Amino acid sequence: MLNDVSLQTVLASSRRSLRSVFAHWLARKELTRPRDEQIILYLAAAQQSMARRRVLAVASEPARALLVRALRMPVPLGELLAATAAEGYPVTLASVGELHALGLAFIDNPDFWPQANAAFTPETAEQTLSIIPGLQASELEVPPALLNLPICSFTSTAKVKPKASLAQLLDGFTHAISRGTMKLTQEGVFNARAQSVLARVWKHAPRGPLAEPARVLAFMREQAIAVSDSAGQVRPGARFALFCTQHRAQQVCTFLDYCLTTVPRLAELRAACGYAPERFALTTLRAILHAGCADGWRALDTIAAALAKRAAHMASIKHCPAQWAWRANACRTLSRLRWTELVGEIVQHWLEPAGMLETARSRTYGLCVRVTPLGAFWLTGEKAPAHKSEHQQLVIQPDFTAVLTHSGPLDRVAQVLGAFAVRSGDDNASVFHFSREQVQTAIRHGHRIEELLALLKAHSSYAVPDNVLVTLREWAAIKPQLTLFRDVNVFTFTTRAVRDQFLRQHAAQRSVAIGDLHALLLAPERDIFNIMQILRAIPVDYTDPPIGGLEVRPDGEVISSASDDFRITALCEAIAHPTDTPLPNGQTLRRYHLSAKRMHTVNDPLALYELLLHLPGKPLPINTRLNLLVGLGIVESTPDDHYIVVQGIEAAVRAKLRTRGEMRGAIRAILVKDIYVVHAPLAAQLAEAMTVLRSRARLSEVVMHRIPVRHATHS
Amino acid sequence: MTILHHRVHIIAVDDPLMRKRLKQVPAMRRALVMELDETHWLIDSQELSAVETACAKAGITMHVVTHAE
Repeated sequence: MLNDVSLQTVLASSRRSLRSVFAHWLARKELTRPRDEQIILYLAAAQQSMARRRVLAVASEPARALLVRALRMPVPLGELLAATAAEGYPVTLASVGELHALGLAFIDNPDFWPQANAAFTPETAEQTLSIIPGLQASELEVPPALLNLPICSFTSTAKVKPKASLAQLLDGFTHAISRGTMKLTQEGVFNARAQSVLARVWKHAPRGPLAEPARVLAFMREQAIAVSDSAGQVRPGARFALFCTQHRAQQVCTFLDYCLTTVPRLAELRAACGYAPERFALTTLRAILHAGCADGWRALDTIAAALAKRAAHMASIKHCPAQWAWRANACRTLSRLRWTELVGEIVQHWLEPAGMLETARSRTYGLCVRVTPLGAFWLTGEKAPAHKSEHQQLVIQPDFTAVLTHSGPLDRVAQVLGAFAVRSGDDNASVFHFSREQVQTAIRHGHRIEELLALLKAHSSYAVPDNVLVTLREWAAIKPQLTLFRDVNVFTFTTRAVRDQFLRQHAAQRSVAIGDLHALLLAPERDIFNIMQILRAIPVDYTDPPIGGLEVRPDGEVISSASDDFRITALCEAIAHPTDTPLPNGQTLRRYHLSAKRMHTVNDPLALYELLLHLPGKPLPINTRLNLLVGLGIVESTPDDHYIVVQGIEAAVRAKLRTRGEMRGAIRAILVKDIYVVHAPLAAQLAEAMTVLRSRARLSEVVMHRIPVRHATHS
Repeated sequence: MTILHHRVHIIAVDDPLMRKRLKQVPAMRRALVMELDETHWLIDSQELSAVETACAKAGITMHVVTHAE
């Protein structure tokens, strides 16, 4: 939807007479004014609610339904028509013409407006509608549409099997993630261990594209239920606990909704029809099922026929208002057979495997579908189906095992027990083994021990042994020895007073004061970004590498263009000594100078040197590198500051030298590409070895200019 | 100037003995980027899984907190 300025531009760019349109909005006297003035007066009138109400009272119900949809969802015209028709409203191309004729909405490009010498083409279907300014969806009264289809009266003799194994599949997948067995290779596929785990989980999974492990993982990553780290390990995400505690029916519905939004669509078909037929079929089918989900069987043929009829009606150009009618519809229409195929595909590949529908074949009606209790929950969002079994027994034994019989895919008891214990067996009889590790993992992922204890007491056939109750509580009550704040946001302030004030302002949210200047804030990401904008804070994203490196000045001062980054500060502090200078405004200026003492105390000098070399930004000069090598103790200092380097040494020669004990330490570290610093006492031996190995490398000497350092241990 | 450090991993250890013990764990030594104060340590994201595994193996109980959703 565009604003009134854009609509003014759209109307002004058309040469077509709009007198009949403006007649609905303007007084007869105003219609005699110049066209530009008429447009301005029309837009002013459109902003008056009384005038809008008067014109809307004339509009037909399909046109109003189309307008409501356009207000809620600004999508191309073809998709807009399809979405409205799929909900059950009898919209046609005449409804679009009617919106133009009444001046309620216009196609953005006047070249595609309805007119007698033009056809409705796929290009027209790609245009969007501009609606009059000020119009609200609440002003449009549109009664809900109903898509009632006849019920097939027959009794299915086939025994209905519960088709909710998708729930168990999702359960198994979340358990595998919480146990740390899901890992991806560099190519982004599951590694061998994960595949063997998945093979066990997928043993009873429904067949078809719905239950592909990659699809389940993509869903979990998209919903922030799981994340994969840089090593490929799939870890619980921010919404993991929330998802695990949801009812299984809710989990299945969320997953199915994700799958249906990612149903593969044929781009060519969409381009030819002007809308995505797959989406139209799915939305219409959903509306048909929703209209009477508690009723009996419906024939798939009847559904496909209704769908074909609705699509044909939508594409009709009949009964268009005068002057606002298309000559023809040039978009492709699908045959009834194709609609039958599409509906069959949706039912058999997606809805039936997910347990939303059950199918049966009748001699009279052919293939029929009926909504299951899970399907009714998916369609209406009310009354999640519960597992009921009169014969169910739960026996808790003193050896920390629980035996559960007559379970089912939507059984809440089995779901909660599975979160705290390792399960073996099947739905007829399962044994759950409680362990300290399992209980603590469940607690770590957001489950509460009270939830388990209440369930055991409520469903246990006999009294729960005291030792089990006490030990479970004990396992869960162990105070964690450390807290890991994962993927959190930390603010750094200029002074302590500002930081403390910030903490007081956000006392309602969980925050932690760190040091003098930092504050960790646990808040949703959108809130964090709002706060960032209010504070005008500079963001540093730690999911990306640092944006700058280090530079060592000739006087020994270490500076960086990314000094706000903790990773750069850490590197700086590893090699340099900080000096704080108080500023007149109460802030402190911190400067770093190379420090011999700090460089000597580095844990892994070679790893630090490699890190410094690979920082982004301007590469370190050769002299700085030599100073760092000497300062970090990787290369021994010489009195005359002359160092031997080897250039052009082949990889094979280096590999051979590494195998010789006495020569292993001859090449100390890389200086620049293809040049390595040599340990001076071994230079002569290295030259001999290179001659023997027929290496073309040559030794030379470089002079280092010392950079002044603090806390120097030598003159 | 205020700075927002987005998506960092921080370990909070209150017990001094536990801090000493943790610093002896090789995975933790590799992962430790910076000590923000005495009790809060910034951890390298690439080493996070290794730290979790090492802590689990050493029997160190860990409570994981993520940003509120």
